[in-house]
Amino acid sequence: MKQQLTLSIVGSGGDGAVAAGDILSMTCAREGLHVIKTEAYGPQIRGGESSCTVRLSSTPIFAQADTLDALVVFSWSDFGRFRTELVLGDDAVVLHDSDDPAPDEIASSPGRKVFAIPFTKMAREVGAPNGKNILALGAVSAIFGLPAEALRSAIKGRFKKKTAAVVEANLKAFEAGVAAGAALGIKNEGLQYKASTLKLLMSGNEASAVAAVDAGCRFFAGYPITPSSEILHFMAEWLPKLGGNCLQTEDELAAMGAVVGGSFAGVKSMTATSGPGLSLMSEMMGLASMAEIPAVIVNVQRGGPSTGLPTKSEQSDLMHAVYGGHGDMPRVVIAPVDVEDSYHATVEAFNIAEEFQLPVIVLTDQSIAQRRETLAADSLVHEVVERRLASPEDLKEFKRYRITPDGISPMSVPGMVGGMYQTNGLEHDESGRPSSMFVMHEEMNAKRYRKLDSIARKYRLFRRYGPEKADLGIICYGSSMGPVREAVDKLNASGQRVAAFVPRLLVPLPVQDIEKFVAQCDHILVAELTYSAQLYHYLRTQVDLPRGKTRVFARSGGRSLGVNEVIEQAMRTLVRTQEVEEVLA
Amino acid sequence: MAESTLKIGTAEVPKENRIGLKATDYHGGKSTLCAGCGHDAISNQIVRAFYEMSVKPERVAKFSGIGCSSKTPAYFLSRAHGFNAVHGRMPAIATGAMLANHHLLGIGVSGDGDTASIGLGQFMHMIRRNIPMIYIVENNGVYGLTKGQFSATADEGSKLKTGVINDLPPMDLCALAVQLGCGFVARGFAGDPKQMVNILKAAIAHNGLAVIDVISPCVTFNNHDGSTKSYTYAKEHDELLHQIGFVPSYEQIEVDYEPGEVKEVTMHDGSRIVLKKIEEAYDPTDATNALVRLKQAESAGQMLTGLVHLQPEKKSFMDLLHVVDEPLATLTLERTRPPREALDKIMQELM
Ligand SMILES: Cc1ncc(C[n+]2csc(CCOP(=O)(O)OP(=O)(O)O)c2C)c(N)n1
Ligand code: SF4
Ligand SMILES: [Mg+2]
Repeated sequence: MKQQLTLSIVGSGGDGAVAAGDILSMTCAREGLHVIKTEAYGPQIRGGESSCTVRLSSTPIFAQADTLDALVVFSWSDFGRFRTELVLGDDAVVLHDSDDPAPDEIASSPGRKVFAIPFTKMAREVGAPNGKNILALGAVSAIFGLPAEALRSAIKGRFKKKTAAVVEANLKAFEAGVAAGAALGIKNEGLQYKASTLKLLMSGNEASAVAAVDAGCRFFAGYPITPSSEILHFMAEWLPKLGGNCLQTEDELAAMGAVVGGSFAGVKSMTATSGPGLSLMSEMMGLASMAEIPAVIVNVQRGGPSTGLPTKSEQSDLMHAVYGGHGDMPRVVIAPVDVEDSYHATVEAFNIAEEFQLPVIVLTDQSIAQRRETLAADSLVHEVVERRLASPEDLKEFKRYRITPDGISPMSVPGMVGGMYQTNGLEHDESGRPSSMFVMHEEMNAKRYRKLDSIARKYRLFRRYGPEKADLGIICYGSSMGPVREAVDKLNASGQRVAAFVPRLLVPLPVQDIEKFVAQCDHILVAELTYSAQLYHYLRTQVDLPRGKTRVFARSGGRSLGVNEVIEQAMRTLVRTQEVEEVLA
Repeated sequence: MAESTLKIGTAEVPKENRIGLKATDYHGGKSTLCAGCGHDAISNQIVRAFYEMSVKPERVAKFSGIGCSSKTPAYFLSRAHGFNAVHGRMPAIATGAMLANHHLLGIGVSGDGDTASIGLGQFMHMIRRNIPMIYIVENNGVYGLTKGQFSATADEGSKLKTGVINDLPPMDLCALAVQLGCGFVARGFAGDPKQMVNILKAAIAHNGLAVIDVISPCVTFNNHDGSTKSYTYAKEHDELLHQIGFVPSYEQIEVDYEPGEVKEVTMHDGSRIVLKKIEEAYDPTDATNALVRLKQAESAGQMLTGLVHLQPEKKSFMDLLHVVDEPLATLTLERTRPPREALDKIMQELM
């Protein structure tokens, strides 16, 4: 019996590969299993090849699996396109359509079990010509002991808007698949699990959107861009129903501008974009920073620069998020580590933006934003902080940009009697009047940057995994947490001492906590999905990473870091260290 | 409905064009767009127009922004250079390239999102400068590539598959181009290839910016009942301004029509555009009338197609700049570096 199972279904548009993956992942989430579902597509908008990968587990999981335990292929030429992404395990079970014989290299591994099933023909025979995906689900459920009854009701649910005949035909297809799967006589492949309480199945984009609504965001402005558009779609549907407003602008300059305007007028406001859009938003983010206007920007990273790899993950907007823009421009960057954390990080982003009156970037990426994963049904709760508006006392002699110890000045909104001031992109004095005096500029810069110190004191956002003292400490951020955390667990289970540190707040960086972590580890490995080692270079601006004892594993995105890849990198450091120690001893 | 094109000369299509190339020499890579997408129909007519006009493919420079439409330069004229720029910024890139080498025959392909939303500012300034090239907007009323959100050319009341209704007025890119003084403004329909190819030939012959707004249905996101940019809707509402014929400069064909029945416009290179009236006598050289007619069509819910406005003698940016005939890109170092005396003179002024 297996603790977990990773299955991929590959086909052309119309084969229903993704629909089958949806049904399977939904069903298993309802049964209380841990699920991570990812999808991949060819260049066509519609009708091209697609693949859907579902990882199921009875214990918590944090990343998509490196290799597949099972593969369903409707067309091998479609599979060819995903060959580098979908790696078959040595003893994987492969089911393919009898119409399309498997290429030799598929059966090359002796442990592999490759079976041809006449999916197309059987589906036609049971009267569900479009139901080969459902048939395949049946076969898979029989082989791996997946919850057949729950799958049946999910299939009914999926087709409930269709005629009774369609539902009937699909159920028949499922049964035919179950029979075909059972007839293969594969033993000991079953997934071991106990049904438990229902879990939510969400994407990171959904989690961010829900968080925004929950945090009180009532104005959203955005321009469609992959892989962030789902947030715009969600807001367009829900904000009007919740008494808010959603605006699709003509570009990202306008989107960010509208957000600054909405927030200036007193409404919690947000936008969402990806790299190319973030570039365009820099101008207005500078204005928000200078005029001290709260704003939340969700940036879903994709491969860059420029149009890059629109549907693939990378972590290479880091430097832009942290430094992008002209002038001395304080901003906050917070990076969620998984789907659930997309919710918490987005609420925190609003909390920080509203309290400290500055732009906050939620720096996530395609891998978190578009995969669906399970979370506990009660996990989406987070304390919400409201904007600190000017008090009657403040308004007596109103100074919008009053110099204060924590850098926060009283904020008024238009319409507030006594709270009038001129909002400015120009440097200004405490009342908001333009000033180009050197002394005033220095004082105002200091005040605006003091807010970052206050934030650093109040928020120490990071995750730490592994033993207190470790031979190796891995530092990563964002979506790389998943594979790193699984790698750390495996390494420790095999007797190594490896820990991981994942800052969630990137600006201001939790420097003391990182330094403490570095001191607890003999060696450091920085792991990230950038070609130019952006995280490593950024860390080095603020933290002393031990010379000669720090290694970097940075590679381009397009594919997330793999668990085995991280383990291999960790072992290289560990083994070399041991060798050195042996020589010294 | 009347034919959109005039039959002029022999209809026979030769196997080779005047520079000895076959139609296949103008082909591009295999399209990855959805089967039936209007954009592919336009690419086919681009291949045909450039072939029949005997344009040397290597002389052509293709430009585009980002979108399904902007992917299409990969699907025609593989033998020409292409620059798939960033979203909404094709005009700036193309302007730079055309200034560096005005001997290139530039063709830009963009979408309604790429042009009318994010790229509107650059589009307008390109018109204002009258950069001599072709600018095609493949207009489907949606952002196809990002999965079908409404664009700024979506008609009021048009409905998405999801039921969302567009309640903002559309931007009419032809009216905008006329208003900004563009010397060649046309509207085509991907479902009318014959009209399209004649418009394209005229655009190739034009010396100045040729803006062609082509209604090009998105079969995946905007081709259903309730959409005003579907094939069916466009066919039903297509209102032809005239029948179009194109006579290349090297052909001596006399067109025999009754006086008053046709209007001929001679292009910069000596070729002629022959326009035969259908219901009204439409004079495309009259910009004011063009705006009036576009506005009337909009109120009547018509999709006006044809050559909306022509002003072939309008000076292009290159004419105004008095650039040397030799493209900057091929000038030798001796000719681009100032002589010693010129530098000395500059230095003297700084002393
Ligand atoms: C700065 C920036 N913002 C957003 C995008 C995402 N994006 C790519 S294409 C596109 C719209 C394309 O629409 P259109 O030009 O009408 O082309 P179509 O796909 O409809 O042919 C958008 C919004 C991007 N590439 N760059
Ligand atoms: S999505 Fe629409 S515009 Fe894009 S290729 Fe498909 S049909 Fe064409
Ligand atoms: Mg479009």
